Amino acid sequence: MSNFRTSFKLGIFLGTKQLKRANRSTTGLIIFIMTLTFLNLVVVSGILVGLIVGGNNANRDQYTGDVIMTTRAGKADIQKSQDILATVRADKNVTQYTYRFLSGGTVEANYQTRTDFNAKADTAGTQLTGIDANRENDFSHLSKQVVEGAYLDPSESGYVVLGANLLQRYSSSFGDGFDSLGGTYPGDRVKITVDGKTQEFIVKGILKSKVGDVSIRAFVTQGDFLRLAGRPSLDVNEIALRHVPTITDEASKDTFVRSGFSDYAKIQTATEAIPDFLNQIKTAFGVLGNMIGAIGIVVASITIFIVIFINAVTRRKYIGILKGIGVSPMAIQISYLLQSMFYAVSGSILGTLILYGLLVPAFNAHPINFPFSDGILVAEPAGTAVRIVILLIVTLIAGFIPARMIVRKNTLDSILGR
Amino acid sequence: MINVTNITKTFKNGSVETHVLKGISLRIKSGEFVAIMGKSGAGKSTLMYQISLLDHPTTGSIEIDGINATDLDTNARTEFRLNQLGYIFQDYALLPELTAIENVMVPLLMQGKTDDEAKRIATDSLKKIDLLHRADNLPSQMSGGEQQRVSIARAVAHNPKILFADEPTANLDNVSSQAVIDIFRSLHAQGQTIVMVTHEKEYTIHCDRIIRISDGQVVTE
Repeated sequence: MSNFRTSFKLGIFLGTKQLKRANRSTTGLIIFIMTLTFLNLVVVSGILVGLIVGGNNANRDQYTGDVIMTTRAGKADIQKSQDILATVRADKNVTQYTYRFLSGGTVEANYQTRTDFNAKADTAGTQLTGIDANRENDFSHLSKQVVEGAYLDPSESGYVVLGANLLQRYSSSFGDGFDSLGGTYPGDRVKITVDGKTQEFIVKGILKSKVGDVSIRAFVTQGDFLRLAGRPSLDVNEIALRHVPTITDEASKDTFVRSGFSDYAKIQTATEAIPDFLNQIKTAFGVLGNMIGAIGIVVASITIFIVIFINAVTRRKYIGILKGIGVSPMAIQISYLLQSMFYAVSGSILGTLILYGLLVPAFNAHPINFPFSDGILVAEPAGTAVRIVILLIVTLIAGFIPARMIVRKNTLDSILGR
Repeated sequence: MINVTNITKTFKNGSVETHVLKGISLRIKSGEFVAIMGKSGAGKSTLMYQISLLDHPTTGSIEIDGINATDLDTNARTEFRLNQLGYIFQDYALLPELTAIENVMVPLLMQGKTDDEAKRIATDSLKKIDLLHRADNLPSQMSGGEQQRVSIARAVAHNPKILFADEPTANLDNVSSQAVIDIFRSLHAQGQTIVMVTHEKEYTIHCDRIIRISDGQVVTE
């Protein structure tokens, strides 16, 4: 034990002096490589997962909130909606909520300039959504998604905000699979038909969201919706809410399930409301990111191996002398392990600073613009810590092997360089 | 102190065998200052490497201070070298990234001494060879003579029983060589056992005995 302690102490002494008096440019270059390796390990997988997480976040921000209640299969709306909404309002854990009336329908445009009545009308299928415009905007910030014209004014009637996916100029990437409206702009008139009833609306604005459920809808005020749809009750189709951060989505959901509301509505957390295919993509991207990260780890370990090997080989004579004057092989190996650790720790610290001080804020401020999401950089501290530990362990092994190879050479051969 | 019995050393290179030492026996007493001399290729350095436990003889035995050193395993030999022997090499063999005092401290730290203790002993050791003013200099900042004196300070700082020197003056000018020999004389006067390999006769005049090697055998003692 005392021999280990002595060897450890001397190893630290030798390693520290070697690092202190090493060529600074070389040391800087090695640390730079380790920093890049660390970033490769965290950032690549973080961006891949961030594509999906960015989509999920948008879904949560603009559509589902933390918990969403939707119409049960086979039902026209959420029964006892007003009782549920009263409970939602009374729940101290709920910080925000909104409700939506929905009905499938069609939007027809360009009918005023239509000349050939044998040709197909310019229509697109939509989900007409009646909203409390102010409440909805507070909840999902829809007005920020308006790219042309303006958002609904609750004091006005007869206006509609169209989701961009209903318009040809925004949805050409979807191909011919869906009907879309040509040349429709704010100020144009459109006909909306729901349950065989048609009403003319003026396009107030165009709303473009990366949440598909939002961008395919046509939004009108709840008053206009109820008038058009002629519903006999005030039962809604969606209730979305946000809760205080001290409870989980599941706990919030359980509150309403325990109240028996799951008999009238399908109650889901934001995560549960994410389509399965998105979760599968997230898992696949995570695996892909880890595979790329693993390649980065192999590259890092080879780099450290080469660095330590060259260092040890060029210092073979001195290693021989150290052994010759009685320094234990363990002390010499520890001195090289210390150097490996220094490179890995320095690279990890620098990488972590760049990651959380620069990259994550930069990605949050300027997400990558993907068709289905604003891609952010996901770097959970726990996951980053695990990657740092992996990098340190791999670096230690990569540093230990060449040091041991050189230390095990014959002492006299090392001294004489033969 | 040192009892060498019929040691041989044979190097193999493929099927070619070179017999460098051909059955050497000798005794070195405690406190002796012995020079090993011989022409280039005679085997004098090889002999020193065997008796200083830096190498294993092919056959024969080496007893140092009553211990059969040929029976020691690698770790025991390393520990034996650390505690009982001191080394001075022809090219000084100082670690380039360590200062003079740090070089001297290395074997002391390996012996388990504290930093303060090692530093105090290393300081004393450098003071004895009049190099304290160079304590914080790196080897690259010192002359060859100064480096060799630091090497001597490192070799004797832990009070080894035997000091081995392999051609210690070969790379030095006359003034520096004389300074090194003067240090050896002083150490010898204090009772230090010294075994020195050299081919320079003028530096052996203070030795108690000269062992001459030729063609792997002792020719005169």
